[in-house]
Parts: sequence; structure tokens; C-alpha cells
Amino acid sequence: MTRFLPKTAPWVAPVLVGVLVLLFAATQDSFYRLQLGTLSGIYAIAAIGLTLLFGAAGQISLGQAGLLGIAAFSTAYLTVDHGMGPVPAGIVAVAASTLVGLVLGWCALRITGHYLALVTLAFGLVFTELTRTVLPEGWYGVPPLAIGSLDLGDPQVFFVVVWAAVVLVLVGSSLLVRSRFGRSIAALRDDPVAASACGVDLARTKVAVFGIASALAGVSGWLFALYQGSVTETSFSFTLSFNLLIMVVIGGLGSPGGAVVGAVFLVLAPELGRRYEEYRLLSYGVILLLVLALLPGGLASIGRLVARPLRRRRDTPVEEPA
Amino acid sequence: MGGVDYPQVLATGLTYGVIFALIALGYHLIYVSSGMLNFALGEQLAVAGLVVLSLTSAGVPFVLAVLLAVLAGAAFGAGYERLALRPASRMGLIGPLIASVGVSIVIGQGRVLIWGPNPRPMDPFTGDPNQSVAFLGGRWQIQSFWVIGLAVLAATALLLFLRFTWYGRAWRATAQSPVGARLSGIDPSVVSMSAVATASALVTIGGIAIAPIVLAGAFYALDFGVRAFAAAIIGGFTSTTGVLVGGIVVGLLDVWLASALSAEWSDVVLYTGLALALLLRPRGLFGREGVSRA
Amino acid sequence: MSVEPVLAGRGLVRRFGGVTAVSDVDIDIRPGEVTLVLGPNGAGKSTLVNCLTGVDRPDSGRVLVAGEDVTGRRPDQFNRMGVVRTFQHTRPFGGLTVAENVMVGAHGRTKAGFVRGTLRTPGARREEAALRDQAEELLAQVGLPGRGGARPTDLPLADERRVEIARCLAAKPRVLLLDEPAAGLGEAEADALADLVRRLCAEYDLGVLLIEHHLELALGMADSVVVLDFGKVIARGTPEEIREDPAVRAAYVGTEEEA
Repeated sequence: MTRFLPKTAPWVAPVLVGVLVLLFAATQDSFYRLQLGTLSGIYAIAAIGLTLLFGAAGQISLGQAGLLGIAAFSTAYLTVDHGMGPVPAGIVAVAASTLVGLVLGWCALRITGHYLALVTLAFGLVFTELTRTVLPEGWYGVPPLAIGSLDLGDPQVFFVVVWAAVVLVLVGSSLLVRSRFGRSIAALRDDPVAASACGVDLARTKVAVFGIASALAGVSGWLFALYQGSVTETSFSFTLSFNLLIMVVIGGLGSPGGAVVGAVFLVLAPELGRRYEEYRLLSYGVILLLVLALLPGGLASIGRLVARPLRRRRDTPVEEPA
Repeated sequence: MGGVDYPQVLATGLTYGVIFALIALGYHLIYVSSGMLNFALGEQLAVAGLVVLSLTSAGVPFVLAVLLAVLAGAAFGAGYERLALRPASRMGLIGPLIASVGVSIVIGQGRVLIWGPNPRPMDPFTGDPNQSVAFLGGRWQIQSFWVIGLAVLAATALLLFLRFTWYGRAWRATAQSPVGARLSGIDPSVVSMSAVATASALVTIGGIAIAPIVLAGAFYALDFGVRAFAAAIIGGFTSTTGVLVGGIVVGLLDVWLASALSAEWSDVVLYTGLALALLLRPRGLFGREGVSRA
Repeated sequence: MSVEPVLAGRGLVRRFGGVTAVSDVDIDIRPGEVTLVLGPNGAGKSTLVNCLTGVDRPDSGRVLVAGEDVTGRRPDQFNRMGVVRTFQHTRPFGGLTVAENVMVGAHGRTKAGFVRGTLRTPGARREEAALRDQAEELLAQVGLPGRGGARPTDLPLADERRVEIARCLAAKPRVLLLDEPAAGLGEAEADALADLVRRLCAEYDLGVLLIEHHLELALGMADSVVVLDFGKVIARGTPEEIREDPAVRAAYVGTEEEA
């Protein structure tokens, strides 16, 4: 049985992540590892979106990679073909993926559970196939991030920018799940009928959470395009959607901090076992199955256990009467 | 692109279609008895041929190798149902779905580790690989007849088994009411495990039969798996007739689209159609109203 | 001196396939009064509650809140009009604490959306603080003081029912519909719950619709009674009248208890 542990205070995860990131940046001198660190931060943002959608709100989506891809392709198209600056392109890109995400949210109003999983899977596959057919060459030459004349493209600077964004998103989503809206999506997940009877507008809530998750996927996709400098459809296949799901499950459903940990783990773990590169995907599968079977609360449940003293004041239960 | 060769579409489409039908039958068995969606069957199909190849190259006679592979597939299915899918149901109904994707990854990666990344050719059961027969206006590979024959045989055997044996009754009872089944002395967990075992056996048979045509171990697990899902959705997950009909329909549709458009566009149209079918009529052609959607 | 009903059904009909679960039912719920709906299993009581709260849509007939036709609206819309309900099988939100469960009950009458909630604007913070205070008060009022941090599924059934009632009250409702609140409870627990409901009804001037099997308990609480059988109203009146009614006796053969 999952041990129910009330949430820790919302500043715990962001502070922890911030400290660890600074440590990482200070101690790593390998360029390759720095790049991996940046990539894990980029995926972490999409993973946070997915954990809000799936973990917190109970809406399964196997198409998160497609939303990332929409933003990435939009960014590439706008910057390379139209000379738009990275930031304005990013705004359009995020808007594009949010729009598509809202359409998926509308789909979620009509179908739930397994069928929703299949629809989102189909969406992801359509995106991959469509881009492979219509845009097989992708785009190259996406410019690095720059705000006006401020160049943020240097890998070390970009690393900090990405992780600053992660911490920001982490703070925001931690506050979100500990708010009225956060309660309503938990209610939506646990019992939609009862939630509706309590005044929760299921349709608006579902669509809103899809919008949030896809906006975050969009940010992730935009950053990915800037990081990679090129965009091809191979980066946004079902494998990525599934990897994001693994990050969310390992980290703990509904836990933004857990999603970050999951992302870091999935991207950096291969570094620890370089010799075992060919076993990487296999071990991901095995780890996923182990977590599902033995630790459904993910790493976050361990984190909450450890962070007991940091629990929010008002949630401390009074001693039960004898 | 020229006209569509309809008799050839029939030949190829029917061949693939019965395989989709077998896989969809597997989904149906599992979904009806336990509410789980199983993503792993596609990979099991892909591995089947490789297992037989390894056995025969170790000197095992072909028929025996097939039997062993089918039994091993069934046992493997029972194993991962118990070890991976069932424990994951603590996370709700989505848990087993994710677990099955995990299992499919493990199978897929295991396949690459054991047999290498390249697909392997496999001889057709009889006759020359390059031989084909003219039938109904199209050219049919000899193996196609084996595929269709075996698939029909397997499906018929299963349907008879479900209709006339105690297991079939137990399976139907569990489908209608797990609680009621338990009260009648049926253990739903046994039914669930044997459903996965049976589904595994079915797709193993199908995988062995289709391997000479598509190469053993080729990267088609996802494609076959998704098309079989499409078949189950079109026909209705809860209808035995539906999934079989759906399989044939998807097979013919897929080949027709590929020849009328290009292979890539046929994928796009197929997947979009799948999404639309889910949105507009999740219960499919033959499914019951009010099917549990979560 | 009959007050206008705050929730009413007129000619409600609901069919499922070949079965008519609710057949031409009229019912009034007045503020400060407890209306009891009696009937054997399968008589259509829960379906009636579903129709009166938007969970189900009647095939014909009207649902009126304070005289306004609201037939076909969603449950959350009903909630915002002050109509709340408990469920026959308790439906707590397992992933939230008891206090958070109660706070969700107020979702319909609060306003902080996800933007203001995340940004923690002063307005949102005030609303949250008020919700927390209200949750604590309500939990104390229903007999669970200080239990806000517990997990609802860890609680005994009687306490789960109380949490559900507190969750309903968080909406500051006008009408409370209780679907077999005493089911599965022992004698003493059921009595305690009955007392609670009576107190709340009086204190908040609530209109209460009560579905109950436990005949004696329910008749003792009720101001008026409606008896259903096979979806139709077979008797209507005060508890005393219903006790004597032969049609009711016939429907309840073997289960009626002497006054």
C-alpha cells in the first residue's frame, strides 16, 4: 500500500534542485556532461508538465513528445526561414503547442482512460509520420538564444538559463498543486463524479491542465531547438513520449520535484555506465517495471519520508484519540 | 501513381489482416477479462520467428520448435502478467498499460541484445521463397496461405474453446462481473493470467507464420501493434467477432492506402483515422454501449 | 403556512433501457425541513437523487431550484446553486487530506483560478486562509475536531460519512441530499449521525432530502415522507400517516418496525 504522505513545503524541491545544479556546474569540467545537464533540464520542464497532467490530474497522455516537436519545429521554421528572433519565435512556438494541447484537452472531454491513451498515442504517431512525410529534412541552423543584443548561446550560460527556467517552473508548479486548482485536479483524478458534485467544472479543469502541460512541453521544445541547433522528426518519436512517462513514474506521479529527478536520472544515468550503453533502454524498462511494482509513489515518496520535518504546518495531524 | 491493383491488395491485405486479427483477438481476451490494455503483444510477435530460427539452427525439428516457441510464449506471457502487469494495477488501470509498454521495451531490447539489430530471413514453411501462385487475379506467396490457414485455425480453435469449455465460461463470467465470478468460485487473477498466456500463444503463432514474409525480428512491432489496436477499436474491444472483422478491415485498408497513396501517407491516414474513430465511436462497430472507458 | 420549495422535481421520468427507474415523480424540499424518501431496493431512490442533482438527466420532467427550471444542468452548476449531496458509497478524494477534502467542497463558491492561485495574490491567499478556517470549523462541527491531516480512507466509515457531510457544508448550501447516510453503521453511530443532520438542518435552515432504509430512525427525523416503489410515488404524507398507510405496509412487508 502506498503510504500517504502530505506534501512538503513548496520551497523544498526548488531549493534542493538549485543547490544541486550549482554544485554540478561548479564541479563539472566536462563539456559533454554540461551539455547532458542542459538536456536533462530541457526534458525536465516537459516532464513537469506531464506529471501535472498525468500524475496530478490523472489524464494519460502518450503524445507529449508531439507537443514538444510542434514547438521545436515552429521555432526552427520561424528563426531559420523567417529570421525571427529566438524569443519571439519561442512565444509563437509555445502558443502553437498550447493550442494543439487544448485540442487534446477537448478530446479528453469525450474519452477517458485507455481510449485517451490511444488517442494521444495516435496524435504522437500522426505528428511523427506527418513530419517525416512533409518535412523530412527538418531544419538546420537554428540560432542560439539571444535576447536583443544579450548573447545567451554560450553553453555554460545556456545551462544556467535552462536550469533557471527549470527552477522557475518547479516553483510555479509546486505552488500550483498546493492551491485551490491543485486540489481540484486531484479531485478530478480521484473521483470525477464527486468532484463535479463539489462544484468542479470538469471540462474547464481538464482543458486547463492540458493547456498547462502543453505550454510546458512547448517551452521544452523551444529550448530544445535552441540547444540542438537543428530539428528533425527523429527527436520527437514515441520513444521520447515514453521516456517522459518513465521520468514521471520514477519520480513519482504528481510530484514536480520528482519529475526533475526522473529527467536527470534518465539523461545522466547512461554516463554512469558508459560501458553498458547497449543495456540502457533495457534497464530503463526494467527500472520502470520495478518502480511500478514496488514503489508506485516513485522517488518522491522517499523524498517526502525523508523530509518529514519540512511538512507544512497546517497539515500536521493532531494525535488520534484513543 | 497508376491504378490500384485490387486483387493484389486482397492478397497482401488479407495476409496481414489475419495477423492483425490474431493480435486484436489477444487484446480482446485480455481487455475483456481484466480491463488491461497490453502493448507488449506486438513485440512478442516480432520475437516469435527469431525464437524458432534459433531452435531450428540448434537442430530442433521445425514443428517441435514451433510448439516449444508457442509454449514458451504462453509461459512468458503468464510470467509478465503476474510479475509486471498485476502489481502495476495499484496505480489504477493505467498502471498495467504503462507496465506493458515497459515489458515491450524489455522484449525489444532483449531481442536486439540476443539476436542483434538486423532482422533475419526465414524460409517459408513450404516451397520456394520466390515462388508465388496466381489466385483470384493476384499473385499470392505460398506462405500467405500458411498464414491465413494457421490464423483461421488458431482463431477458430480459440473461439470453440471459449464457447464450449469451462474456461471459456469462466472467462465470460469474469468479463461480466469480477465479483460475481469470484462468488462462483472463479479466481479472476487466474483468468487474467491465462488470458495473457493465451494471447501470447496466439501472437507467437502469428509471428512465426508471418516471419518468412516480413523477416524475423524486423522493426515492425509498433506498426503491427498499433494497427491491431486500430482493428480492435474499429471492431469493438468487447466483441470477439468485431476484433476479427476489424483485423481484416485494417489489413485491407492499410495495403490499399499504401498502394493508392504512398507508404508514409498511409500511416498518417491510418493513425488519424484511429484517433477519429476513438473520438467518434469508441465502442467500435460491434462493441456494447456503455463499455468501461477508464 | 407552506414555504416555497428550494428544490423541486416535477413529473420526473428516467428510464434505463427497458426499465423505468423513476416514473412521474413530484417532490418538494423545503428549507428547514427534512423530507424522507422511502422505498425498497430498486425503487428508484438513488436515481431520483441523481436527477435532482444533475448527475443524471431525466428523460422528461423538470427540476426546479427556487422556482427556476434547471433541468439538464451539470452537477457543478447545481453545486453553485446551493444543491449538494452525499453518496451511498462514500466517495472521498483519496489523494487529499481530510481538510483538503472539505476545502474542495467549497470549490463552487470560491474564485481563485490557477493563475492567481499560483501567484499567491493577496486575494487568493485570503480565500485560502478563509477556506482552511472554515474546514477546521466544519470538521469540529461534524464531530471530527483536529482530524484535518488524516487520510480519508484511513478513517472508519462513520467518520468518512461525516467528512462527506462537512465537504457538502463547505459550499454553504441551501439543500442537502443524503443518500443512505446510515448504511453500514451501527445503531449508536446511526443515531449520532441523525442528531447531527437534525442540528445542521435547523442551524443552517437547510432543506434536507434523506434516503434511508433504516425505517424507525428516518421516520423519527422526517417532517414529510415520500414513498417510492418501482419508480412511482405510492404514498405521501407525515411520518404518522405513512406508518399507517396500507400501501406502504404492502411494499415493505417484513421490514417495517413498530413505532
